Amino acid sequence: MIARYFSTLVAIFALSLASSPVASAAEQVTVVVGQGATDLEHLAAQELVSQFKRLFDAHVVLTDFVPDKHQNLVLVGGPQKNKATREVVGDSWPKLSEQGFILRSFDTGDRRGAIVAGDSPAATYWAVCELGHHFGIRYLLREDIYPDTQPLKLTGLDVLMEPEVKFRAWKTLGDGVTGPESWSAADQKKLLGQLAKMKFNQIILSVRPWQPFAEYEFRGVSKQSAALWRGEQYPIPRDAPGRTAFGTADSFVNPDFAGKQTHEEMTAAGIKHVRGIISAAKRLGMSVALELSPLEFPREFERAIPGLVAVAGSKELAVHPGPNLKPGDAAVRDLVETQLRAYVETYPNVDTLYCTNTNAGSWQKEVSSIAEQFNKQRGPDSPVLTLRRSGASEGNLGVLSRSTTRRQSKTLDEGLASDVDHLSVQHTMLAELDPTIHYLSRAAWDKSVMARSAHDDFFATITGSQAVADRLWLGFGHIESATQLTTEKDADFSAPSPDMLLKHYRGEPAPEWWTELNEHYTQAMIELYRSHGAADARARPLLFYYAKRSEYVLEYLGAVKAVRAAAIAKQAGDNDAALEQLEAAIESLYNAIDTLGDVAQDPSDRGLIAALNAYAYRPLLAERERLSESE
Amino acid sequence: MRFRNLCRPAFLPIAFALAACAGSLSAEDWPQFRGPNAAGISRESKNLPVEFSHKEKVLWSTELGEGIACPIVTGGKVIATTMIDDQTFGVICFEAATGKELWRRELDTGPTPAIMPPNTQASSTPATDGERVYVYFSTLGMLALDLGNGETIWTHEIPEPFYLLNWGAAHSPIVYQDLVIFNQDDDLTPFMIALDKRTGEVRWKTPRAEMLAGYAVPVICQANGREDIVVAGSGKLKGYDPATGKQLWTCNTLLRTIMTSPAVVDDLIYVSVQSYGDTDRVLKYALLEWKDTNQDGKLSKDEFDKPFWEKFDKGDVNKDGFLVESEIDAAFQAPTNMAGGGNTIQAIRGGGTGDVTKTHVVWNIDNTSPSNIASPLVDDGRVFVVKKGGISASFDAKTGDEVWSKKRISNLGNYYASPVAGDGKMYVMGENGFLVVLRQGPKPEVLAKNDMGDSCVATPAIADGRIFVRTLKTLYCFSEEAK
Repeated sequence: MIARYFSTLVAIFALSLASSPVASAAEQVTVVVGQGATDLEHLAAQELVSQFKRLFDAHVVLTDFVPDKHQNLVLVGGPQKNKATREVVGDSWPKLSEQGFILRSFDTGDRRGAIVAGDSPAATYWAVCELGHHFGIRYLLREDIYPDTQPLKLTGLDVLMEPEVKFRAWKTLGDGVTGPESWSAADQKKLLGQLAKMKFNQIILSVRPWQPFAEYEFRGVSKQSAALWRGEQYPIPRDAPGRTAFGTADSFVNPDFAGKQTHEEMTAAGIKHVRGIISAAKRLGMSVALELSPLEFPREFERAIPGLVAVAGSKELAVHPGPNLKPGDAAVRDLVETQLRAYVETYPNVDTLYCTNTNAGSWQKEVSSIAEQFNKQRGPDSPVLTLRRSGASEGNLGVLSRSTTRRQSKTLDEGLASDVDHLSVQHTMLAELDPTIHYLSRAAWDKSVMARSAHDDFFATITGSQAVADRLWLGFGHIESATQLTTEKDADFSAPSPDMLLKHYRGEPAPEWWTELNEHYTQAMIELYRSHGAADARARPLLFYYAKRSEYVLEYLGAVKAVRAAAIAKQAGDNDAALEQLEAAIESLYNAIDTLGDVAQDPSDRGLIAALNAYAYRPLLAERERLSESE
Repeated sequence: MRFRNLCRPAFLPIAFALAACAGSLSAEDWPQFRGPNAAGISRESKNLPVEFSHKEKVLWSTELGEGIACPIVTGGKVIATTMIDDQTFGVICFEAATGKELWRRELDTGPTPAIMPPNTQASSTPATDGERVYVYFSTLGMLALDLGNGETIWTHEIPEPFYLLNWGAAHSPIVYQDLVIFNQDDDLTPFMIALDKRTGEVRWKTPRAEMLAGYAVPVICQANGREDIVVAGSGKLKGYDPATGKQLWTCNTLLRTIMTSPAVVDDLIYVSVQSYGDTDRVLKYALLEWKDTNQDGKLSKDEFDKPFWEKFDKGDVNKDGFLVESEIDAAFQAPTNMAGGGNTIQAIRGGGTGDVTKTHVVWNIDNTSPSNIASPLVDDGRVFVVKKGGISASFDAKTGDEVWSKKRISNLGNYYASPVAGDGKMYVMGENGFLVVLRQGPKPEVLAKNDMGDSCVATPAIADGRIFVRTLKTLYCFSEEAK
């Protein structure tokens, strides 16, 4: 499709150049893409055009025609795809892997400029984005931050990059209102665009048995489960704190599923949703893996196989073989295959199927056998089924601000030392993730990149100040210390579950580490606001977002402390004091959620507001009512 | 709870504008920020609605775009402002009864300066004399637009304000007799100016060198046979001669940062304000906390925006390139006005001469009820204040005695808009988009909690029995006339 419109595009660019009254004042740049270029290479060239216009205020022409003479030529694509590149490099094209690329200045007398190319379309796309990085663009998860307009300079480029980590994966979908399960395919597409600029090359779609992403039948039982968010609903009453983040909507929904009621409607929407994500990833040259747990099934299949029992923690939405079912059970084996086949047939573009939770003791061998047979039977274009044990889970799944850059740096260093070639980012909220993702995206290609150097490369560039980057290093250090502290002391401290706040309503002294936690977040907030005031305008919205989120955390912690104080007072029989503390908790929590609402950026932020209302604010109001009535 | 106060730089200045006694205005007009003389009171409106929402009793509504300035009303017309895009400022005039758009001006602002949310670029409330609309924008200066068609009658350049903590502009003009009066207390060159409302020529300009950034609008106080322009600023409430701009009196009882506007009843001027920190927290400490980016305990030039470098050099007595201790004070806060933080509600009698600090303060209480942004409402013998958390208090206007203390008005969250009143009711706009209606009286009686559907920072306007609410994006007209 891109190629089809390319000629028209060239004509439009040429026309706009000819008719522009200020054409003579700006630098003229010609971007040359090969005649046989792929859609992704065209996309790369268009990205480069867009970037050069903003970076240099240049007049940029995109063409597949090679001018005889030109001072500012940018050749996009390697010699196999781009004749102009071939003419310039001759035999000097370096040996590259499928992912490797170069940025190289050239001067042949009549022609001067730069080659921006790899040996694959994806590598060429990354080359373009790396050139943007070279000129000061920083890619974030929601946007790009550009430097001030600068003079065009294509000389002095001599970069060859090969990845240290070959598979750079982003795990998505999953399970939970604060995570990507709340994102529309359009939201995901935008995010994938940013990830591609940071050279991520794989997405992992993690699905759950009850979700509406496949349909199948087994022994007369049809899959009927088709639930998002484990079937939870998240109304947004008009007096809910943070409600302005939802406009006039009266509930929080994933827009791809808005108004879908029946199993059929939900499933149709779910399949379209996932296909949309896969399509967006493929367009960007990413491979796609589907991750599922082959021994877990929607609960309706307990009717088909007696002996399937509820999976712990799944709200009885999923079942798996119970103690009365043994490996080798033909029915279970058939159901596993039926489920796998359903996903493969629904999403034929998936490259890999990851099977998790196979470390269920004696069933592991059984699943291995199924996988082996599955792979033997698969067609040439069918995905490869790969067994993958459940990794260490993310310990801290809470809703507080968090940072793990330093820890990731240590993990990556250790991984690189033992030739690990795969990194995978599993996220719920994007929140404070940008500096961590920036680090991973740089360190995955350059062993010399450290957490601190990546931090400075990111923040000193976008804020225009090393001093600000220094403050932010301290600020994020406090957030990381808080993250580590919470993980060590109580990983579920703020996990978004129905009892997330009132589980702290216990008549026992508040643990001492809460004070330390509060201090870390206080210091973080101070550093974030201080940095916000000193940063260039382009970075201020991002820093304001971080600062407001740290303010939210402090209000949330204030609510937790007040809840604990209320419980202690209640236990002592002082209901008046307990009510007073509950009022304080309500106000703190209201302020916390309202603060989030002020800066909500994406569906995860809104999902968090919805969850806090459902799991913390409304239960707190109810407890106040109960206590008042008992007076 | 120290962190709440540490958030101070994030809390924002809101516009304050002021009223006037211009001849061509009708009694039902709401011609400036917070109506006649910035009092927030509609004396003539009857049958104002109590229960309404963005879906009920809406006489009309219109999408405006982003802004937080208050709507103004004159001669059956409503004027509102908005940012149409990043560099286009809009002034739009509507027919008050129908919402029909009568004219609009779209003005190219150029790049806009830094600003701290929830302040926005379109934050200054216009003023009108019933013939012209006087509009201020930080990069455009003051403009007089023809009320009939929006055409520019004159433009007067105003020096762009600069704020040490990037709060951004939010000052609003008033009209007094034949003058457009505009007070711009920033951290660089604070001043008050009076322009001829017909020509835009400068009648007088009075430096206010002792002032730090603040947002109080001037008010008019009739006392002692005079009409004085009264302005609340850092540490001092001052009275000026409207004819010359000459300072007549000063009352040195205020705090460091003044974002609220005074209210005047008879010859008494009421101020309620909260300013972060204790009484000894002068500006220096805020600067060391927020501007000392590398936290080395001294301020270097590159930690300030360029417009402040001249002040920096002036303060850098030993010329070592750094400001420390007393040098910081000398650079940015007048030695004659080292006001600190705290809370205060006070009544000051107007009409004085010279330093009236010891002679004209009728009452002055240290009470934690005041907001740092929402102004007091003084009516019916009581001073009403509301602050974050929907915590209200009321004081006897004659004595300062508590009528009620720290009563919630059933709506949590921030309060940036100032309360207004009419028809025996008080309307209190919360940032969360709920407009709480209370009965005026000696007890806090909530009559309704009305959903405006969106966040709201602008103070509502009341005129001709209608309530005009400007949410972040929409202008509503509520009335019992609505079907």
